[in-house]
Amino acid sequence: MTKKIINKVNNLILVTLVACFVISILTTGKVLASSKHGGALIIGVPGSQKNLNSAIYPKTFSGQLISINLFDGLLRVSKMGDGKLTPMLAKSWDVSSDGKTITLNLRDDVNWHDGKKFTSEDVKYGILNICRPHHPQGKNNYSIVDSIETPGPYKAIIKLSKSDATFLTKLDSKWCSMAPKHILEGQDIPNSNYNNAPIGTGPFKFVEWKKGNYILFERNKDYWAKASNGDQLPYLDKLYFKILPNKTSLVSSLEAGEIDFIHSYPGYLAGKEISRVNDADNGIKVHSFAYANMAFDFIYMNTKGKFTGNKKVRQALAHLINTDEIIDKVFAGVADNVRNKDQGFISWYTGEAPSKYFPYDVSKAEALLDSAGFKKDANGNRFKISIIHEQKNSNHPKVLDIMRSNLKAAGIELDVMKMDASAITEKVHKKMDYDMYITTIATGPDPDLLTKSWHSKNIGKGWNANSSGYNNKKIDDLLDKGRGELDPVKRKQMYVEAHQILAEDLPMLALYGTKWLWTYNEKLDGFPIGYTFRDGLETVNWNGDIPNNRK
Amino acid sequence: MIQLAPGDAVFMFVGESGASPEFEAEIRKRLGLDKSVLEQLILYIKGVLTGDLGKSFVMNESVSKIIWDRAIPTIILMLSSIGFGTFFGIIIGVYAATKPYSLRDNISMIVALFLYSLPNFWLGQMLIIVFSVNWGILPVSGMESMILGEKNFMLDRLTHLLLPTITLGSTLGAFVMRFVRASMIEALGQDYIITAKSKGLSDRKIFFKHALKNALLPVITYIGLRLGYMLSGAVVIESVFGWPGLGLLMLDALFERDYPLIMGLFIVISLSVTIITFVVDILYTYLDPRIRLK
Repeated sequence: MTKKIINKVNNLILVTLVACFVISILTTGKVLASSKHGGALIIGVPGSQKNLNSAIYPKTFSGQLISINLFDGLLRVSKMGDGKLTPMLAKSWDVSSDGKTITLNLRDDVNWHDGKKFTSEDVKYGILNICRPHHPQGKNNYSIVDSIETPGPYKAIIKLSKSDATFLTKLDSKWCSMAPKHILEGQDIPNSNYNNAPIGTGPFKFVEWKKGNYILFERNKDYWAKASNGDQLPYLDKLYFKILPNKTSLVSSLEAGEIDFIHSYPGYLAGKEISRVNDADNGIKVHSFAYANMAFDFIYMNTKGKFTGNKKVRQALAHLINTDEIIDKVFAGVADNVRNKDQGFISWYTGEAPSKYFPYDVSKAEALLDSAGFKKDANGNRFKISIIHEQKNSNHPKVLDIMRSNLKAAGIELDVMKMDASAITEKVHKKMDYDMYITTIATGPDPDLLTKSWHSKNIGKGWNANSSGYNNKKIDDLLDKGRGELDPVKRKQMYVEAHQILAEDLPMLALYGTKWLWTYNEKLDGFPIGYTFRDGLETVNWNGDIPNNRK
Repeated sequence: MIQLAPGDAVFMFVGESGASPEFEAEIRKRLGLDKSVLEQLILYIKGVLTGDLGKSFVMNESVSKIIWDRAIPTIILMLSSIGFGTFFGIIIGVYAATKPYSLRDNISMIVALFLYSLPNFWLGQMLIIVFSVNWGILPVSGMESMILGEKNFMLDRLTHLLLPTITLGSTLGAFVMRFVRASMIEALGQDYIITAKSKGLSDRKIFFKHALKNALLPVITYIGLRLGYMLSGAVVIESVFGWPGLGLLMLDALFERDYPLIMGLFIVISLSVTIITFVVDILYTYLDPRIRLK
């Protein structure tokens, strides 16, 4: 009798628990809500932003970081820099054997932020009417698109005029994030108000932009993506991008707890500052990330220059620069020395170092300079040469201080010139009126990205194009063939050969592999730390411990 | 003149990933930069005469609207800095003048010398390090907290305003201090002060009612002249504190080669300084009966 009563009570408890569970699901409607959901994140971004429409105007790293949260691409290039592609709005794709037809199967559960369905018509419109004519790289990327067919609402077929091994990577949101046809059709795109208040399919929705102050996004509750554990993404309720005027304000604001996160971009924390920030007891930590030497600081050498026009001088300059000293003194060790393996800087792709390289060796440099006809005068001087750097990078002046003393050892005087990006475009990239120029460049995830810097058709064609004036028909041929070759083994061999030539000719000299810094409050979790800027912040969360001032 | 500076406005549309020459040519045409500089200037002047300051290259909005939106924070910062500098300058100046060459006078003048010798940006950075980063009692930058939470709206604005005000107002305060002291010492030696003293008036009444009123005339002239300098100082202060005003806007516009916005800002700031100087001149006629207009 007692047992029966106990069983009945147990059953009653079980039924009550199940009922409570069902009621809670019915009332909240959120089976997937977890303790990680909720809260706001304040992100510091340097400088004012111009435009939030990533389909036409990404411009800066910070601009990409902001707008990527509003948009999706058709697929995503892996943040690990291995060149792998992951599905986004296209859940699968198929490339024909001749490489000229690409069939995209689209997700059928994607809505624009205004509630309308995302379809293949948006893909066709986005590529042909927005990205191709209005993105700065649109004509280069999509001029080979002959047509886009839309046999169904969730299928798009892209027909190309010729095969291109890199074309799929151009469907990443960096180059073409999808744009809503139903809103943009018939609008004057460059002047549209949409660019300041866009509607995308991304994990966050645009709410407000207070110019010079902040930009606010809120959670897209209907976002299609889920985390690997099944949680509905995104986790955060709100994203605030606080506009800060300079790097000092960024770091001070983070240390004072006014912002939670500074995204990766080079040069905002110098080597010793990293340990200072890490050692302070304020819950802020710096995470450095480098992948396969895919971001370099390097020196453009003007191959038409009075001194750098001589290959022996370029090789001598390479011998004179003490990269170990630079990494130690400027970066406190937080950088990779790549001088012995990557003079042409694509070893990460070719898998092997070039046979010729020019490590730090003053006597070899002096011998090369003597044989090039630049002998020392009675005072021990050879010649004076100049180098340009961009004012925004706070590390480069220190790097150039060391380089100045390195070159002095062989009787070369280095004249350092600081300029803003616009002036550099004019002087270096268009007029090529310079000797040397130091900058940071991403060299992957596909080596084809550097065709811009080495192919003779790109001489004087703007920012980070072939501004060395390097003209080598063999290299042009290898790069052209490399782009069209679909067989990965044959393709790699072409770049191995190109790498050997570039490492000896040195139109550009790789100095060191930079590490990219992600600095944030340690309570936060789920950052998509990686090489690219193509991932949004949908996985970032407060790990169930939302501070009061972020609720 | 602006276009003679090295660099190209089109770069701001092309960005760091570069662009094809055709794309650059299209942008140049859209911005009107394909025309000669003289043609551009004539078109611009025509626009200005009809009250149209043009459209910002970068922000894609009317220059007048952008300037107006960003003028309000600058006006708030200027007014609070003038108020802060003038108030403390007068109080300490009068205090120092009551006993010239005494310890209090010497200390006041050393403080004044120290304050106007300090570079503004350095003082701003030091205040941020001490009050914001180390003590955490005042915000580092901006005009308002993005997440207000339980904070009071007005108090939040005031705490954001405090450090920029002190930084921008300190130089003005130091100058006002010295002016007020010198003028007060001169005024206190005048016959009417001796008369007031012989009538048995209290020191307080003599200092503030009789001496100070006359001593303020050169101070007002100085503040009027100083406004132009303060506007240029605001460029530095706004960039140190991330204050979203005209100074920061000017800096952005210069770096981005946003020619219409730069020109618009020059016109608006020059006009403002001229109008303020005129208003100060008019103010004299009310303060000094000797120069009242007939």
